[in-house]
Amino acid sequence: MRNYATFLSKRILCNKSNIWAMFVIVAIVTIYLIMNIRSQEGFREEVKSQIQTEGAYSADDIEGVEARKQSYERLLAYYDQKNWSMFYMEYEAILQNQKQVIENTISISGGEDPSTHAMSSDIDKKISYITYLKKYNLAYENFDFPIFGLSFTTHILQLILPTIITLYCIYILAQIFVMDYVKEVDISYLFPLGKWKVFLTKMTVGIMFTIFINIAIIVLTFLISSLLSGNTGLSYPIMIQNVAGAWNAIKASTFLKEWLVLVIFFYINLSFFMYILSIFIRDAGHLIFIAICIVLGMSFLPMIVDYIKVFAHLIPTTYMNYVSVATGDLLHRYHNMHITTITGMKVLSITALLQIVICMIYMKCRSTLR
Amino acid sequence: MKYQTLLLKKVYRNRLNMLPLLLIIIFLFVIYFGHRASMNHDLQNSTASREKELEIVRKDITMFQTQLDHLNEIDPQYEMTKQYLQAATLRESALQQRLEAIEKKDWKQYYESELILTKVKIDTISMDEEFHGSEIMEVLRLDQEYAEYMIKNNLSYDSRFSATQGFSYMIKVINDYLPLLFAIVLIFIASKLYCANFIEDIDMHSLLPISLVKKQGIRLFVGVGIGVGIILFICFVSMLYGWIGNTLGNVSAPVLSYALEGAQHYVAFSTIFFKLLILISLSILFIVQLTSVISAFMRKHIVCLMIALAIVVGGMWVIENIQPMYSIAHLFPITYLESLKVISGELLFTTQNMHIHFFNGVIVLSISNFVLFGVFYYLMKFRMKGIRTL
Repeated sequence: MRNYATFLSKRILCNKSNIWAMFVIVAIVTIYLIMNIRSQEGFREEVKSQIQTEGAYSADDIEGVEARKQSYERLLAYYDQKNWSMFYMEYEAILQNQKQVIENTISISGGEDPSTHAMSSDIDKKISYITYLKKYNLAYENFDFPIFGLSFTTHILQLILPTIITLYCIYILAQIFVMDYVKEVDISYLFPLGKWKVFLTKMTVGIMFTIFINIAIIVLTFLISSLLSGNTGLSYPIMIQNVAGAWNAIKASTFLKEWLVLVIFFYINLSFFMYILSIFIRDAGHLIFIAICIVLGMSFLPMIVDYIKVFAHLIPTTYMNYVSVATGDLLHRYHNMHITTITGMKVLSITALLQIVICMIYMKCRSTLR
Repeated sequence: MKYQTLLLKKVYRNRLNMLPLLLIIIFLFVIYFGHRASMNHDLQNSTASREKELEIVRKDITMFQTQLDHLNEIDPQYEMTKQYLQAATLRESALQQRLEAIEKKDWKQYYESELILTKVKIDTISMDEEFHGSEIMEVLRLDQEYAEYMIKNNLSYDSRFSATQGFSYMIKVINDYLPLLFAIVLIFIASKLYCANFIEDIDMHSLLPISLVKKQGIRLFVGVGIGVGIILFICFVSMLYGWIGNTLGNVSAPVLSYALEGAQHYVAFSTIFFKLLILISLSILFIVQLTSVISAFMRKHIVCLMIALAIVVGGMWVIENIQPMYSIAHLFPITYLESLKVISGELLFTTQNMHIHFFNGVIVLSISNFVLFGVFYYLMKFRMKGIRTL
């Protein structure tokens, strides 16, 4: 059994395309990080444009305009000096000022304008973020384009990385599960191993590989961003909106355990799903293509078909975006209160059990098929 | 056996190649089901809410009439209340008409009452346009245009956003999903077809007694044939769903055209059909040739498939989502795979790049096709030379 596992692993590791794919993923992560690093300059541009906007105001409130301009200039100076405590104090004062103006506008307009509410929510988000950074004395980073270790890793895991990792895992799993089919004939019958041992070895290798790939890519992303930005970002927050719409800054590491559990559950499911598909589709190319269409298709379908959002929590592929599930981001995007880590674990456990049963039935019938 | 028959047999004899088509059938059904549910909601479930709306308007009319009775004609509020009363009366009759139209399934009357209701809304909002914002006015203007178009072309009920008729659903599919669906399926089948002639890295088809140009021509011809087949299949399935779910409709189904400033007006599908045909044909040729060239380097099916998918699908995503690419998007052939969006001007509007239009699409795709043809021809020629030297 161990020899067969070593044989399977070696065949995967000796395939150059598997190694190249890993390099491509690392390259994509690095390019994304560089783009985020370049976007940090956006803050300076934003403040400069604010100064210009203030200058364009009418002469009704010359003193107020001058005070605001000076405040922005001070903010920029603290930003350049990296004097974060002063920077946060100044920024918080500016944001509170802006919030006051918006609240006044809302009370005058009767609170009917949705764009003013959106602006108010955006300022609340910034205030909450700045208060957190000030409290823990952390260096500033733009929360839309994070660059520090854990905050960048969490951010990219909410965007493109789960899709890329899933694609890569499908590619690897397809190789593992169809390796023993030569022209649709299963040569594993020739191995001096029982059918259950072959099945268990394949599943174990498949699950180990997918989980290892995930952890390796996540760790590499964390290391690359920590090395390039010089900050591990362990104390940095992610912004969470509660049911009432209020923003809270919560330490990114708080969710780490939750989404790591989901990673394990999801990829165990994926491995079983790929095995079941490989029973019917014994050609690697077809298997990869169909699996990509089903897994990624099902995961993206709720985004384009509204009525699926209602029962998206019952679809296992929803939990492919494990970080978004753990942080509650997906819950807000789909307007589905059931999309939580607990539901995810329940759904993924049930589907995994169902798939195990299907696999066992197939294994039982296999000798008859033979 | 002829070369083209050999290639075609490789495709249709493999039953697994039918799986992507099955997935397309399921996908289009899921999407259509959503559209149909939305139409049902609009027409049936909301009848109760429309009746309530009618009741509210009737109450408003009574209220305005009472107010008018108590106001003096020289009072400044008198004129305003009179205007409100007129608008409410107009709304009441239009709402009543709309309810009757739904019951009788008289869609002309339905759109006529919709037109009146939208006009009332526009008049009310235009009194305080600054507060409501220009976006709402734009939406209402398009609602009005849509209703006018439906009346003019005598079309039955359809939703502006969730098309349910055969032709309109097909247009929706062509606009939103076809470029991605057909690119994925075509790349999959073409890569399988072009990589199948390599056995142990040796091109077995080089042994065939056919000239290089002829062989390349036949390969492209077969590839394009498969591409056309996939597109016809997608269009047929979407039309069939629309036909079963609502009605077939006709070629004058509306397509929203855009300019740099935003959505402009509705045009008939028949007016852009030939442009669409040309652009789609060139797109098919481009995908087939690109896969062919990649297969010359990457002889393993999976690797060829992945690279071609990464270039085409990744390229489409990058062009639509990465803002710095917008200004140069017109130079990439991949931009023009979104044929309907190019012709209707939607891509021109979203990217704010005025160079993205039909003629540029034809030029860029034609040049790319010539280049890819040349690259593949010389690659094959060099390979043949190598084999002869051996």
